[in-house]
Amino acid sequence: MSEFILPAIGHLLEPLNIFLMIAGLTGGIIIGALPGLTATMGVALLVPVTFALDTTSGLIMLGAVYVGAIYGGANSACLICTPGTPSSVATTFDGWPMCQKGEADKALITALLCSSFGGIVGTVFLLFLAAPLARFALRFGGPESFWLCLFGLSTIAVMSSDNMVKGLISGAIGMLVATIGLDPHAAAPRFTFGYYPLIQGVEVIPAMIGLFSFSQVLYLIGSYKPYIASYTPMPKSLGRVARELFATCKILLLRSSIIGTLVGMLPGAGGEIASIISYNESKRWDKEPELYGKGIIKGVAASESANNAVIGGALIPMLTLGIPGSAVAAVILGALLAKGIQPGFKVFTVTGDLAYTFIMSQFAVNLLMIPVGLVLIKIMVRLLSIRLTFVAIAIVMLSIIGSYAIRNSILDVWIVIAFGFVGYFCNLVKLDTGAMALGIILGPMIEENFGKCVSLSKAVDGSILQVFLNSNIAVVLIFCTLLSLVTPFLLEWKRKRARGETGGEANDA
Amino acid sequence: MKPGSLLKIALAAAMLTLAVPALSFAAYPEKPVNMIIAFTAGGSSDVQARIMQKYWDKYGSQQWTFVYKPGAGGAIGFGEISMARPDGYTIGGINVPHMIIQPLVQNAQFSIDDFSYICQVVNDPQTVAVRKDSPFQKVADVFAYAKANPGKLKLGLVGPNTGHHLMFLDVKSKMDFPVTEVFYKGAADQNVALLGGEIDVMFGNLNDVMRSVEEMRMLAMASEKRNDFLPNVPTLREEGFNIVSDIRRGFVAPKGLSKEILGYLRGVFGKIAADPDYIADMKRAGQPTEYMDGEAFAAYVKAQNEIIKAALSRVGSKK
Amino acid sequence: MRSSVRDIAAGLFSLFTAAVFFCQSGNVEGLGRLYPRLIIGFIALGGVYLVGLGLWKRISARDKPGGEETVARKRVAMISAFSLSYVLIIPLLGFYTTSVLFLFGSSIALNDAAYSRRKAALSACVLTLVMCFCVWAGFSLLLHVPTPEGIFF
Repeated sequence: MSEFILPAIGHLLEPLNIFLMIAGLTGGIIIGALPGLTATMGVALLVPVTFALDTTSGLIMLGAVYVGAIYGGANSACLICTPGTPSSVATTFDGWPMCQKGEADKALITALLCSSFGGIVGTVFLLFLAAPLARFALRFGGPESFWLCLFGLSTIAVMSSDNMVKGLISGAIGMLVATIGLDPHAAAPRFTFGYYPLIQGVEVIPAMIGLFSFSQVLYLIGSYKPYIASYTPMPKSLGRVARELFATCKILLLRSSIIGTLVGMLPGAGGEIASIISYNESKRWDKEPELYGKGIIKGVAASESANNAVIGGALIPMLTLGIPGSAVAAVILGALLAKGIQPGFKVFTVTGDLAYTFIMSQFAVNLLMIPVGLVLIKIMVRLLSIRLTFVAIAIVMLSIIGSYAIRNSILDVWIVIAFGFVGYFCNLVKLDTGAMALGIILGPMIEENFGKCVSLSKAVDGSILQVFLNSNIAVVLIFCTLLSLVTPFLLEWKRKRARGETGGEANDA
Repeated sequence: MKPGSLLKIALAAAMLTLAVPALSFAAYPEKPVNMIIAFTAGGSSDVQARIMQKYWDKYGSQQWTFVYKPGAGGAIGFGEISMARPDGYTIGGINVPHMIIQPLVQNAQFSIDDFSYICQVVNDPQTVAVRKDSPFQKVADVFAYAKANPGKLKLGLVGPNTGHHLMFLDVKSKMDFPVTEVFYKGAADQNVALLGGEIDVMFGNLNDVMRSVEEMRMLAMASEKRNDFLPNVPTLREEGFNIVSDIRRGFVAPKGLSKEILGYLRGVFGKIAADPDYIADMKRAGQPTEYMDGEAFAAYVKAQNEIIKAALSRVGSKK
Repeated sequence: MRSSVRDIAAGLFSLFTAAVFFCQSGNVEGLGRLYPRLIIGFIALGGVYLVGLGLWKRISARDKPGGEETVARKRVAMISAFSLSYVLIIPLLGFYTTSVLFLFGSSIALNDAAYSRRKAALSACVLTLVMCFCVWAGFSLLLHVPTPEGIFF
């Protein structure tokens, strides 16, 4: 390994590569920030450009776009409460309240620094532990993935602001919506209401654009605010945020980044799940969980470091086994295959130059992101000084073209509008839209893996329970899920105990 | 105006109208052509089309605009191609047997007669694969084990309603093969399952198993003859089992395409397929090429349609 | 909106969703039917619970007041109507044409009272031009993403 690293760093200093890294980052951040454009789409659309470049440079560019886009989603998540990419859903929980309090720059800089940190941690794992981690990722089959998804869903219980039942129902409605389309077991059409295009199912991203962007537009227009939020730029924010992060969030950042890397490694699980699990874990283990959701740095830090750490994790199985850990990794894998690069453990020896240059470029990109991101932040916060009406109207147009661009299907545009109204209604009655989005994301995985468990139970000629208990990982996850469901009651009990000592009213559930 | 000049103008107009069809043919393609891919970006179909794109830019004149329409195992994309305007500006990739099974089983919005066939480019046979550390050394071992321990052997397939599923039905109809079959959404999941130990054996496509070839052992291939990529792997026929099963990829346009445009497309694709650099690129990418021209491909599809219809009604899946 | 009204509305919405999906679940068999039906059942139970909770809150006067923000209903209705027509008209007139109509029209209609008529028209024009240019440059030129087709472009 060591004989490759120095030449790799040498490659990075070539002017073309430096240009590609900066251009890729800038493009990626903008793509990520625009609601409607996602990292997957951005990378997929740039693949043809890589044909004109040599393999190494092309790979560096795609990697830079990936990193930039996953961070970029935080910008719109904080500024307009719309996750620019699905990975930034959890960033809206604390980023948006911070923006409303006038702390937009603090929120954005936190997102930037934490994304960078998470990305570096993920790349460290990629560099040193790729082989053993890839082997570990292989052990996640049907039962393990099923319980991981249930664990992810159970975090809704901790997340719900108003009422746990409402949160669970929103999640269930999300899961139900996800069943529209083809049944994964018999490939028969289901819930299409007689309208054939619905056989494609409800795609996650238009649903999220509707639930978050479009409903937010309705809300903003309905409020009498002239601007999205009041904003007074404060000097030397960078230094202050960095100091605060260093002082209070060290463990939180490490934990979130590790969660992100691990989740990223698993094929099928991506940034959205990682950031939400990480957010909830931070909340669970924090001394003052009730501050989450009202606008504190820790919420943004947990979410953003996790979703960027996913990148390093997703690249591990992609390079070592040819099995992509996320949708973007799948696109990058396709580009590699088209160039004739075979993934496998050989990739670090036979094509070692390429592999290590790419990994080193990931380090470089995560560091370069800070200055590039700062410049873009200064531009993005100008958004807060444009009158709200114009911003809202522009968001409608972007949401429509953005959702159309995913599958070139007008159905997706209708999904945006429909879910926009649903989201607006849900916010009025306090049904949690985040839980609904999570249900839509996790629903198909749960059903598919459940089906696999049922099929596997035939081989053990026993019940499903046997299938679950056969796997150590599944047992651990079952335990985590149960713990997760019990947590709200534990937190309530802790709170009552603390209140009981000082005297005070019990809160109504 | 003088009657003489009027006549001249009329003559000129008549000649122009005759020239227009010739001109429009000569001008095709005059704007970018939409290439519809019925699967997600980064998948095997996409990779193959990207390699072709490189050579299209060499032999053709306008660009390809990739349009991804994934969903329903390819049915959405195939349907889109069939419903597009037959003006030569929308073409797409199709997979056999997917495009045959879907209209029979899934109420798809297209049928095999809705296309003009350009050519076939890939013949990707199924292989029987196990992990490198598996006790099975020959395909016969696998079948023997399954018979001796009914239900205990776990078989992975992509499906349902895919080439793998058809091969499985074919095997079950020809011999005793009591296994527990598990369906996966895609080849990547199937590979993970095999390598992770969730399943013991799988029917995988050559292109997909090549991605993890050093971790797996291929016991046999369901093809007519041995393949260059894995010359040491016997065919199922050699091992005594009469099974041939593969996935074909090709390109089509909506039916009703004018003869000139179809001829142009078939010509360019033929040139690309014969280009030695293209063949080398495909080999490097692990894609098994086999070119079949448009007419032969159309005939192949029709023949397969009858075979598959029979197989499905035997099993009772036909709707 | 008071807490009880919220709960009742949420409950009714859940029951409605469950009912709609249940009616459509007839044509699938096996595992593919069991899974959604389990979810439908769960949602229905939750809906009943929420409606009950809301009614109980009203009866026992344990209602929590809403924490009201005034909502400009007319504006919300307008932008909803505009957006719906936008999506309906795109397949007819084409993306950019409809976008121009939408951007210009909604800017004028939703104009804040603070602007004079001339300034409103001017800013609407600026918004329209800037947005259309950016989308065209980014999507069509740079990324080669097709936009919805219509009669015009």
